[in-house]
Amino acid sequence: MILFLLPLTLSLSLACTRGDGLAPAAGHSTPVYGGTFTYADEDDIRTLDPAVGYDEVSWTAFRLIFDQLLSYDEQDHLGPGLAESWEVSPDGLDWVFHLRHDVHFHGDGTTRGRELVAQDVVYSWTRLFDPHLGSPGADFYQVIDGATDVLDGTATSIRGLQALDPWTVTVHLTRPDSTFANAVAMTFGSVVPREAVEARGEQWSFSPVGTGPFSVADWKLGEKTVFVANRDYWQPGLPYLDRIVHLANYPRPVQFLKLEAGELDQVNRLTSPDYMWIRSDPRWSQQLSEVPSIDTYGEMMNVELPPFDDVWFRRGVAAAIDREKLGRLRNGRLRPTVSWLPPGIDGHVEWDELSAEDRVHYQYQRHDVELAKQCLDKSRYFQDGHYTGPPITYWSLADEASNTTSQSVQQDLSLVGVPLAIKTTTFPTYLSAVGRPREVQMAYTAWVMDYPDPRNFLETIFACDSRAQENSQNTSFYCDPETDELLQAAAVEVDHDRRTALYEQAQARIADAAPVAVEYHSTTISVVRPQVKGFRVDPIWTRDMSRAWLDVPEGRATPQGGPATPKRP
Amino acid sequence: MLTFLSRRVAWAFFTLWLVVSGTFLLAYVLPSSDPARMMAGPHASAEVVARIRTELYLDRPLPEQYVRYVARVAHGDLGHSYKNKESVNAAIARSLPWTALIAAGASVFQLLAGVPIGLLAALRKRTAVDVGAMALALVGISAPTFLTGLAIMYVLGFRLGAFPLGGLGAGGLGVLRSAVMPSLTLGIAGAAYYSRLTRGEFLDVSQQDYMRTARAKGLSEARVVLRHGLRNALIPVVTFFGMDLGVMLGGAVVTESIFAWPGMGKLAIDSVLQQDFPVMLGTVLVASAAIVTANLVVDLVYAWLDPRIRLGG
Repeated sequence: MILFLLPLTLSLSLACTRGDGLAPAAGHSTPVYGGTFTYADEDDIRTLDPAVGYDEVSWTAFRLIFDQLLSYDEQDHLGPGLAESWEVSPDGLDWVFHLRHDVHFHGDGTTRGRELVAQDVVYSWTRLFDPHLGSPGADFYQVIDGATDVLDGTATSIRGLQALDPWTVTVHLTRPDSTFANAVAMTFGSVVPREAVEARGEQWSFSPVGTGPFSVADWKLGEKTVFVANRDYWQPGLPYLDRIVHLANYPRPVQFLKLEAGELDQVNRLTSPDYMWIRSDPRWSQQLSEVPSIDTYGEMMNVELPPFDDVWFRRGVAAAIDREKLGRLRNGRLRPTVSWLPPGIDGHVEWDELSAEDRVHYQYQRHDVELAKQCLDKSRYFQDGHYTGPPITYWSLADEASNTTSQSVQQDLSLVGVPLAIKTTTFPTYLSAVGRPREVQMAYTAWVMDYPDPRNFLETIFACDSRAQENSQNTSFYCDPETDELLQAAAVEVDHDRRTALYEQAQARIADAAPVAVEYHSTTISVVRPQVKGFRVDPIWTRDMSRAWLDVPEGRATPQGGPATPKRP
Repeated sequence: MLTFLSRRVAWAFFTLWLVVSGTFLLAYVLPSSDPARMMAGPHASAEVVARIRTELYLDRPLPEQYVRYVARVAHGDLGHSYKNKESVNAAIARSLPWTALIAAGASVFQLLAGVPIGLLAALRKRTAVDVGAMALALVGISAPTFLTGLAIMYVLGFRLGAFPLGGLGAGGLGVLRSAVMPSLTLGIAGAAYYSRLTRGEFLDVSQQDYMRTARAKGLSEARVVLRHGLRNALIPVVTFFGMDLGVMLGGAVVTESIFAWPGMGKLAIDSVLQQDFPVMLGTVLVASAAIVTANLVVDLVYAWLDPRIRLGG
């Protein structure tokens, strides 16, 4: 149904004239204070409790409201956040975080909020293990000594997590964890004040308190959320904007109309026709940026179910898929790949840079019809060039991108003699089905990073331990003892180069065994109005407005005509 | 009359109970999905999911879950959303007024546009006006809502800038302005249908003896048409009007989605897609209550208009 809309939007866009979406920037060289930045999503924010939210719409909001002890810089390198500095013991087990002084929680508008202390960090992280909260973040922190006891209800505090003094937090881990710093920087590590959480009760997830550059002024469910500047923010000079408004539930074509009309400041979900039109329009194309996302898409093949229990069959299927065609079908917005680890993550490989020796492992992960046929002929499900195995059902989702991909894959496989029946379903049904053993033969699969580290891409998806009877993350149910050994060694390895080498080896083994046909990495499209400066498309936060400002003529920053809020002295 | 009324009310409650039970069974028995999983997020461990399942009583036997649910609903408590823990009563309370607003707007538009067009077509039977109006009505009935909605938004909202591009406006006047385009979209098919209905009924009525009598009495043509013709022709329109209003109160999924309108339809479709069962059951209950009530009212009005129905009831 949505597909039917697209030609219409295209023609509508071509004819458009109204609106000041293209109003030129005023040309200030330094940030102007004030103004309202408005953006929209197809969904509403799910929750404003950082211990619970685990979706990109919520995370974008968390970026505004909360801070973590560590944070990523613009190159996505880990650096200081609420912690000015931190130390790790040589065995990797003991961590000490030194907190920044004079960081305050959001005030109530008249009085200043309370100062953040180490005990707040202890409370916030312990809260993740509250058995009644069901925080998905607990997984990332359970390496802290004693954390799981709180989850089990046998303890109320975590013995490995202490506030040494108001400015020092110490953490003791049960085993070295090369990705603990990444976990600390996740939104689950946001620091919140205990008294506010307890006083607000059920209301907490609708009106939280943090230390971030903006606080929540109002959340009208299903409609919009208004964030106002925290003029007491600990980063000097920030934020620039007075307000940020998030509009919920706007369909993509309407978001684009609103951008053109000057009612939105930025859009990052475009329909294919709108994207093509923007690319061809000389004015709008200047406002377009395409940022590589840190994710990987492909097709998972369940190694426990025929015909995918035969490695030659999996290799044949993986080699039969035309990744370049998929890219073309999506207006070149995808980046075809042989590497499950995306660019920007240690261990990523490019086919062109691989040695002949390494290419042997990755050869099935690129389109090669002849190779595909040879592999399939070697499998026990092919006789005299004909498929003799059981019927294959491929699970897909109903959105535009999934439809395109599933039909393209179906066509590619029919060219090598493998018949595929497509089953389209909703996301919750898909998620629970692929998470159970021996249920789904083949399906669309994707991984979007939780944090930029190879462990998050490999161990989560391909380790034997990631298989489960319910909600299995390892949806292909691939389990290879040698790969597991590599993954376990890498997880505790502290030397960066040795660690990367281990992940490279693990990835090569996985590519060769082909539990997944690796296809592409995606790109985030962003269109901003010319007046928007300092806005960043971010692989972690999706949108980062914390340093955004509006380059408008003096006195025009506030739409009501009032003066912009003065810069904090 | 009292027996008739009590029988109809009893049937209404029976219908509601059937709907609630049927939806409950569908939600909990058929799908292979797991709400606890959805709540915990895509990466949560099995332990976290299991704990949520226990808290929501999802690990209890189905009859126990059913009895718990019906008992709660009977006390007016529709439970809490799996998605964001908001109370379902609150979610419906914040959505229903907005749906009611565009349903009212659409109803007014249906009547004000549909009836005069139908009457005009009937009076100018087999002329260009009639053919044109009925062709327009055919388009109105056939065009899918997502097409008419976007077209209305583009022309009235984007090109002319007369109304905001989706969302709820601020302040009383802002809200009314923002409700215009969704109301038009929601009402356009109904208006088209009413114009056909009015035309057909009026042509029937105009053949009746009392019309000839009215003219023979020397009444003015306007009086003949409005007092004797239209009033009788409108009886089926009133019936449909009541039932349509009930249906629209249940939420207009497509219209509300296009216009980012924070009403019941959007709430309902999101709850279905995310398998947020408490919200899903709540919206179904309210939607069916609206339809059942509208039917009841229509029945009563009909019985009042035509005693034969009451006797046959």
